[in-house]
Amino acid sequence: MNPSPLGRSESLLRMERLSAVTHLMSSGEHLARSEAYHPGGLNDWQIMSDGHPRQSRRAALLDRIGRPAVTRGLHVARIAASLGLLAPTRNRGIRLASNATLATTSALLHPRHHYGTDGSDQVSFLVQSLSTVARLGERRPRIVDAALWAASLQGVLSYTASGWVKVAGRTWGTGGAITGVARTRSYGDIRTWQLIRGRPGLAKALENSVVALECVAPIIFLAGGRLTRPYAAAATGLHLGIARVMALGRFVPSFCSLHAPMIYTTQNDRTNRRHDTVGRIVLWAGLGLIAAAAGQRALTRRTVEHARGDERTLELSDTNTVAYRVIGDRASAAGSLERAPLVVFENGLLATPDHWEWIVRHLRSISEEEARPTVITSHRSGYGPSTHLPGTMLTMGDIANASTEFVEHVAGDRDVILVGHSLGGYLAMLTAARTSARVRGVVLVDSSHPDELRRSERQRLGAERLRDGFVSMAASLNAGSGMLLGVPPWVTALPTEAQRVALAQFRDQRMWTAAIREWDATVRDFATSPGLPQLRCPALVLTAAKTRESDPVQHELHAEMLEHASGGSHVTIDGADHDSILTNQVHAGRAAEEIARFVAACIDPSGATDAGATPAAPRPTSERDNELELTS
Amino acid sequence: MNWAITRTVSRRGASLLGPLVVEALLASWVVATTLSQHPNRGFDRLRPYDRSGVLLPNWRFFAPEPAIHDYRVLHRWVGKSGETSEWHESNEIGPRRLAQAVWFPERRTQKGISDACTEMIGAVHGSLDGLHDTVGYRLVRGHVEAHIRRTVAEAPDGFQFVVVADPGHDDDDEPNYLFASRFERWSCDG
Repeated sequence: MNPSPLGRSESLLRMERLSAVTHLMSSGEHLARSEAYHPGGLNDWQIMSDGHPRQSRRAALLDRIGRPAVTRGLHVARIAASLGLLAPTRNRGIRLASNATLATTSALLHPRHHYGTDGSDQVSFLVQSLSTVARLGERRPRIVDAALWAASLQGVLSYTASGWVKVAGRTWGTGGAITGVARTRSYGDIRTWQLIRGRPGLAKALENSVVALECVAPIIFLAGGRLTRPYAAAATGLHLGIARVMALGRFVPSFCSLHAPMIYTTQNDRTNRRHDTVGRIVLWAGLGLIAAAAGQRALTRRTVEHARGDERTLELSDTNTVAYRVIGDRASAAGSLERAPLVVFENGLLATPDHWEWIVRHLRSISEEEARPTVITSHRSGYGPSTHLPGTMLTMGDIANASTEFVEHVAGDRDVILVGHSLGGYLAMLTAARTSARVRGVVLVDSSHPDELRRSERQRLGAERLRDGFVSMAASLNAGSGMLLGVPPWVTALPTEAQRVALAQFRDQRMWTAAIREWDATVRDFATSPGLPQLRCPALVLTAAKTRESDPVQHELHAEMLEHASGGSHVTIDGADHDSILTNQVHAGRAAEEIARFVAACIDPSGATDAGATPAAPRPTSERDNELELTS
Repeated sequence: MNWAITRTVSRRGASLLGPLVVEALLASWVVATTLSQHPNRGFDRLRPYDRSGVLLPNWRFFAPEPAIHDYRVLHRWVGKSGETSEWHESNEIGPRRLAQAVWFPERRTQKGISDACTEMIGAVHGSLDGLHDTVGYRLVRGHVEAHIRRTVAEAPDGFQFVVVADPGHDDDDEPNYLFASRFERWSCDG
């Protein structure tokens, strides 16, 4: 037998009443722990107010609310409003005022209770806000239905998103999630922990049940809503279980308050003459967004493939290609033999040639006219417009061979300085050790070391989740999520001309896929402890000051790099971190000054370079090391 | 006559337009919420626009990875004569009771500690610049100092605290020490 349809008014009444229970419990809790508002409490406004912009009307209002007496007064008002909604009255004025009070005070008190707030607070705010809208437009069924539809869709979304995001994680479904939570003292329960520890099958079954229940929430829109009540009953059971095990009692009334609108909006009901416009708009907007995401993905790919527009292309012997830019090549302009040094940049993992933009500009602006280097930046195969044949370049040896072939092509018989950042530093060392090109020096900018995963705990811990992050990003971007990806600070730190292409690469799946392949190659290579290659030229090792501060082992590894070169120096760039040493204009400027000095010292600026001659040595290692000691 | 028609039409227009605006706004809000649930927080491009922090619900409960550790804060103090105390718990989590399924005000404090520690540890993993000025650090520092004030007869010279990721009831796993504060000089004698 089908249950009788749930009416519009009844749905609204149930929703606002159940949610009022959450507000009642919540304000009671806040009043019971008023020590939290005083010094030593986790809602001490004297400290918390610093987290908000000052000198505005909003700040003045928050400061007033932040007074313990005012906060307590607002909670008393909230309790009165909650009781008003729980009272057996259908008086519109009382219900509107109560809903509006709860919604407004929830928003006003949110910054006040920022530390200690949870999911039930956001649900109860949402419900009371929608109830306010519904009560305001109570005489117009279309507005009440709009509010109930919004509550219903948020309810379904709350379960669906929670489920599918768990699917994207590593722990749910392994038995480790529920067991892990149950063992904690904050959210766990010792009896549950004792029951499921050592029973991975039971833990897995529980986890899969929870995730499945959450993921399938949209089924309530099928079968004329006949599945909604059973679904709501199952979800209520889940919330009751969570309340018992995790002591999250407030979640029961808050989430269950969304069940009435879920039932109302999915039932096959002609008596209410329901207005489904919100549901339809969301459906069409969803379809439109899917189309927009596909379009945006195609546009991003086009920007990546077009890159800066002045790239040249080299096809390597394995048919992969390398797109590269030549900046300041006077030979092509004058048609004469170029004698100025050639500086070839090697990108790090998951990095673009645009990362070098500040360094390139500084380097060319501060060098003497006759010694101003020609600069080459490139996209390794698989990055940007450079093509990559699947199944190739799977080892660090393959990648280094490709770099070697590229350097030999662009260098010809000219003197070359290789500059590499991060993994690009290690690649530059490998290239310098195996190339026949006239490499006069190598600059290692906060470079990777093949022993870093073994010797640096910080590096090892960071590396453990790196691949998962790359895979997740590649999959998300492939699915068209690129337009949701914010603009990272390193992009906005670059010169304006470089930002568009850099951002497109960041939002394109290709770079992340290439990074997964290169990272796998790196991990395999580092696992064999290959050691550093011996260089036949001097090296300039640049360490970012924050790398050195946060991981002294990394600094030791950088010092070792210098020992594998025929002289050179090791310099710390003050204030820089691993990325900002390239992307911050000031830090990159300091790095560029060091590089320019090194280039000038390595190559005779008179143009009388001799392939067989020993390059002019930079300041001795010991002297620069001493400088380092003095600044440490 | 014309005026009466115009008035009737505009009333009808307003009566139709009003609900449509409400429907469009609510539908947009649902769509914006949907677009703000990506497992990777890097895709939360719309959230910075919600300055209130309450308009775009976050439905990613215990996901993608659940918290499987307790944040424990331990402290020790240095007395006026230079002696150093043992490590003490700054915020002991008591045993679970059935009634807490309905009434659990202490949960707010535990969640507050967890939120403040999460913020502080996040700052530690990034740049250390300004760590001691973060709200999270200062709240935990204040919490520890208040605890010492309540439990120690004579005001000490200063104190230090550590944040530990603790496996809770699981004795087979080791606690992980996440952060040790600098020596904090006693700021009040109250």
